[in-house]
Formats: sequence, C-alpha cells, structure tokens
Amino acid sequence: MIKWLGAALGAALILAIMLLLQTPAEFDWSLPEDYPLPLIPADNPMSAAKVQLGRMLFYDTRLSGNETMSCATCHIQALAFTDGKPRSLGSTGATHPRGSMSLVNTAYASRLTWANPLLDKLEDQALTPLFGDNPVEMGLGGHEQRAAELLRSESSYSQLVGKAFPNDADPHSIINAVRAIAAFVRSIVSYDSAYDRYLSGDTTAMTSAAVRGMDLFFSERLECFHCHGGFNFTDSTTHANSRVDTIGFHNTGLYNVDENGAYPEANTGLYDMTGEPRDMGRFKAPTLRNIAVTAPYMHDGSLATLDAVIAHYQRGGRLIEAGGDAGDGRLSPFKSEFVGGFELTVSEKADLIAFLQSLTDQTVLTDSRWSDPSQ
Amino acid sequence: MRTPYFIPLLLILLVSCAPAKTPFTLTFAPHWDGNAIECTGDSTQLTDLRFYVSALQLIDSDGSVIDAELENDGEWQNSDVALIDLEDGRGACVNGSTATRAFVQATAANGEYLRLAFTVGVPFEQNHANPMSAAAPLDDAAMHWHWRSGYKFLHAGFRNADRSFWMHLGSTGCEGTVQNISMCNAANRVVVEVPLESLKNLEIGIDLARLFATADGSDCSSGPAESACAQPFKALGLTHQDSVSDVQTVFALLP
Ligand code: HEC
Ligand code: HEC
Repeated sequence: MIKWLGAALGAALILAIMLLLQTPAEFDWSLPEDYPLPLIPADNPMSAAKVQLGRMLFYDTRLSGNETMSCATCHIQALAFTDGKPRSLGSTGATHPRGSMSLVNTAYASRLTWANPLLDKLEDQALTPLFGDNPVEMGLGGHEQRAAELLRSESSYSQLVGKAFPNDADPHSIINAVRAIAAFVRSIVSYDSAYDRYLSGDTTAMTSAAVRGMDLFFSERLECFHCHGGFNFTDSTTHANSRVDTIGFHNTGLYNVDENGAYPEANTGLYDMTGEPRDMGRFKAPTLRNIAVTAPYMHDGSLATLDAVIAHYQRGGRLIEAGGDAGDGRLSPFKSEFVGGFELTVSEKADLIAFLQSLTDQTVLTDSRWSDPSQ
Repeated sequence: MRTPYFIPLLLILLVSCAPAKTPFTLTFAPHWDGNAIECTGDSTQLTDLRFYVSALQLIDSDGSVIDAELENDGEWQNSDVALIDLEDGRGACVNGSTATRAFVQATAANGEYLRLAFTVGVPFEQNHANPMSAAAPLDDAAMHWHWRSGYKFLHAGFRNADRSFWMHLGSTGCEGTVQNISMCNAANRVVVEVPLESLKNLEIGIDLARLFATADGSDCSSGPAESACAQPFKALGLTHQDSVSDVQTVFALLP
C-alpha cells in the first residue's frame, strides 16, 4: 500500500516538473514594484532566450545588405540608443530625413517613430530600417535568404533560435529574427535615474537645482508636462494596465516657412501620413528620459543643445531669420496652444536643465544586458 | 453500313469539351516618347519599372464586365494580383533585380470583347495583410512600404542627359494601425482601360515621357506634401492635393 502511494506521488511529482518545464518562465523585467508592465503582443511573448537572440542580432552587421551596419550603428547604448547625428546616415550613404531616436522605454510607446499614427508595434517598426529603400538604412531587401541561412548555419545562433522559438517547426526565419530583435528592444527599460530614486524616497538623489527645475517642468507657466507627461515623459504612452492608448502629436512652432505654418517639405510630420492640413508639423513628443545624452534635438536635429530647445519654447516658437527655411514659428497657425512662450530667468533655465539631466539613467547606458555581446 | 450510335454522342462530347475559356497574355513594354527604352542605352535610360496588376477585366459590346482569371503560378502571380518587373538590374537600374517578368497570364470566358481594363495596385485586403507571411508575388520586400502599411503599387524611374526622376506609388492617408488598416483616404490605385480588337498580341506600352512629362530633380513617394508628385499623379489619373485628374495617359495599347 505504502509502495503504491510512493509510486503515485513520484509520478505526480514528475508530471508537475514536466508541466513546469513546459510553461516558459515569466520574463524577468526587474522593474520596480510601482512600474507598470509593458503590453506584449500575443504572438511574441518575452523570454530570456529570445531577448538574448535579439541582442546578438541587434549588434550584427550581417543583417545589412553590404554587411556594414547593424541596428546599433544608429542606436548606440552610451547615447541612450541614439547616434549623436542631426539626421541618420544609411548603410549606402543616404541621409535619413530625420534623426535617430532613443530606444529606451519604447516598450511603453503607443506609437513609434517621429510622426506615424499607424506604427504601434516594435515588430512592424523594425521592418523599415531593415528593408526600407527610401532612404536605404540597412538595405537587407534581396538578402533575406542569406540572413535566414545565418540563423541556421551559425551555431551560436541556431541553438538560441530553437530555444527562443521552441514551438516552431522551422524557426530559422527572418520573421523570427525580427521578433527577437523587437523583444530585445522591448527589454530596454529605464527606471534608475536620479529622478526615479528621488521619487522612491531617496531625497538626496536630486540636487536642489534639479528639484526646482522639476517644479518648473510641471508648472502651468512652462506647460512641458502637457506633452511630456507621465512616467515616460511623453503623452504617447501605453502599458499593460492602461485602459486606452494615449496618442499625442504636436506642432511646437519649429518652422513656418510660408507664413501659413508649413514645415520644410522633407519633414511635414503627421501631415505626410494623413494629408490633413491641420496635421502640418505635428510630431510625437519624444521621451525625455536620458535627454542630456541624446543631442542634437528635434526630429531633424536642428537644435544643438538643451539650452537651444528651452529658448525655442521660451519664445513660443522658433524664429529662423534667413535661408530657405526662414519664418517665424511663433506665428504658425498650427502651433499647439501649450507652446505660448513664457518668462524664464537665467537661473531658472539652469534649474530646468539640471532637472532634465536628472533623467539620465547610467544603468541603462551601461548595463551589460543591453550591450554588444561580442565585446 | 450502319452509323454507329456512339458517333453523335462523341460529337456532343467533343463540343462540350471545346474550351469555353480563352487563355491570353498581356505584355508590357517601357517606352519614352514612343520608343522602347531599357536600363542600359545611350539616350534615356530606365532606372526602375515594377508594378502590381490586379482586377483584370474584359468588357463586351453590351457593356457587361467579365472578370479574367489570373493563373496562380506561385511566383509572379497569385489568383488576384500579378507582379510585372521590367528592370533587369543592369546599367541605370542600380537598385533592381536581375529577374524580369513582362506579362500577365490570364484566361477569360469566350466572348466578343471591346475593351480591356486593369488596375495598377494590390487589392485592399492583400495590401494591408502582414507582408512577412505573404506568398508570392507579395513577398518582395522591395515592393513594400512598412511604415505606411501596404505595397508600393508602382516603382518607376528614368534618367537622361537633361533630367532624372523616380516615383513610388502606394496608398496614403491610411487609418488604423499597420496590421489593422480600416481605410485609406488616398487609395492611389490606377485604373487603366483600353479599346480592344482581339485577345491576341496584347501589348501595353508604358510611356515614361508622359508619366514624367515635367518631373525633374527630386522624387515622389506619394506623400501629400511632395509637390513633385502633382504632375506624375495627374498623368496616372490620380488626385494630388489641388491637382485633380481622372484619366490616366501613361498606359496605352500598342498597335
Ligand atoms: C540608419 C540608421 C538607423 C538604423 C540602422 C536603425 N535605425 Fe531605428 N531609427 C532611426 C531613425 C532615423 C529613426 C526615426 C525614424 C522616423 O521618424 O521615421 C529611428 C527610430 C526607431 C524606433 C522608434 C523609437 C521611438 O521612440 O518611437 C525604433 C523602435 C527603432 N528605430 C528601432 C530600430 C531597430 C530595431 C533597428 C534594426 C533593425 C534600427 N532601428 C535600425 C535610425 C536607424
Ligand atoms: C505641445 C506639446 C509640447 C510641449 C508643451 C512641450 N513639448 Fe517638448 N516636444 C514636443 C514635441 C512634439 C517634440 C518634437 C518636436 C519636433 O521634433 O519637431 C518635442 C521635443 C522636445 C525635446 C527634444 C527631444 C529630442 O529627443 O530631440 C526636448 C528636450 C523637449 N521637447 C523639452 C521640452 C520642455 C523642457 C518643455 C517645456 C518648456 C517642452 N518640451 C514642452 C512637444 C511638446
């Protein structure tokens, strides 16, 4: 009798262990408790193996047509995954009309890139740098077979691919490479800036100048928070518990080339996607996390420093006195009502900059989870 | 001699087996001012010419419209859409592919047809499905606009001593999200209709001198802000901002 019970218990234990091994372990985001979880597409669940695979692919130049460029070429960790250029350069020398963007916390972005109302998934976004031909970024179009072969033939990849996509009959596909890259990008989250530590109770984490700057940032006088609000400092934010996606696109009066509010033809923002006149010059308010390390600023890198960005808001729109883009952005009919201009003393400006600097998270800029695995 | 009873039967059988459908081929050729052009050559060169053809139809004397069937060959055409590729990657076609395909293979019910119509474009359903899992001929990454959602219906470009230009045509102003587009305000599908004498030797000339009559310098990616799109859009019978047009003048049946 005892024997039978022992055997039954043993079998049950083995069954339980098998079941445990079957269900993939919850992905460890290591997020602070009060942080919401990101939304994950049902067809691309997170796993440690997939993120590791994505990390290798993100840094692999063999994913470009001429094998010179990886995602990391334009998204450098030390620069919060931007490239330091006003506008990015593709693998064949073409200039992108816009500048690279930080990849930190894109897991929480309700819309991706500078002004695209359609792009809501990292999986879909990655296809543009990989295959886009206007401009050519990585130029992988036509080399899909070679990339799939890389996943199959190189042992460091082929093993991980099997682990990352355990249920696929043939997991060595470009679509899985894209899923893995997206999972890696999704895993890049920031929660360890001086500002975060200050919020979680460490009152010494921020300087007093930065605290004064924070009050200015969240004031009705400066209005920054209307567009750069919430834990990710952008109103285009979503997460696992949010009931609705918030999506915001705003014209900040950066240009007014024809006195009717036009932006230069190469970058009309949301208007390029919708053709609606009222969408002229409307862009996503980017996250301000790590903003001190992502110069130059704005969609076309046309403001070199944080000082220049604040001067632009202070004036209530930028004045360009000469050249093809000349015009007074302050007078643009499309400008948001939240960019009205304000008084700001020199020391207040320094405080505001100190606050923006307190949003830098050294962990996300250096952590080996997101660094080049070959280094 | 007695006529075997099965002969009339055989006749009936033969008649009913005679094909009720005619296969036909629609061929395309790039031209400049009526002269054939290629990626190589001394005067005007093609720099790109690829496009999708769908909704192939024949119109008879009563005005009834008969859908022609595309043969699904698993490579250049499925049963709804065909890819035409008139560039061979040589010479000025620097971003092209070596493979070419100049024709659509189709069948139509037998009939007396007066006109032929087709659309340059991908039908809405297939246009906004996930391109990463699409079958041929919709698996060509070079013909997709990942950030706008949908295929580029037409790639066309030329270059000569005086000027050069290229355009990518596709739907814009789409609503929804990339994998769930509900509609596009500017569908930008080109409808071509030509008179017809028979279904034999059907060849359509694409005159880039008409498509790019005055286009110069920059390029057109179908964006509403791109003023350089106005002239080529007009030639394709498409509306672009204030420039309105409804009849294309680029595609014509060659004599
Ligand atoms: C040639 C430089 C370049 C390369 C290579 C590149 N990117 Fe980018 N990235 C950009 C630019 C420029 C933008 C802004 C695009 C726009 O607004 O149209 C951007 C935007 C993004 C965004 C949107 C971020 C946000 O906050 O909305 C993501 C995500 C992204 N890239 C991921 C990737 C991935 C993944 C790869 C590799 C598959 C990659 N990028 C390769 C230049 C590049
Ligand atoms: C009406 C909404 C709105 C308000 C108010 C606003 N911003 Fe912005 N912010 C934006 C948008 C949109 C952009 C991108 C604009 C572009 O590229 O044309 C931007 C860009 C920036 C950038 C550059 C980001 C980058 O990655 O290049 C900084 C820095 C910035 N804002 C700081 C501020 C500060 C500080 C304030 C308050 C003084 C403020 N913003 C107020 C919407 C807003």
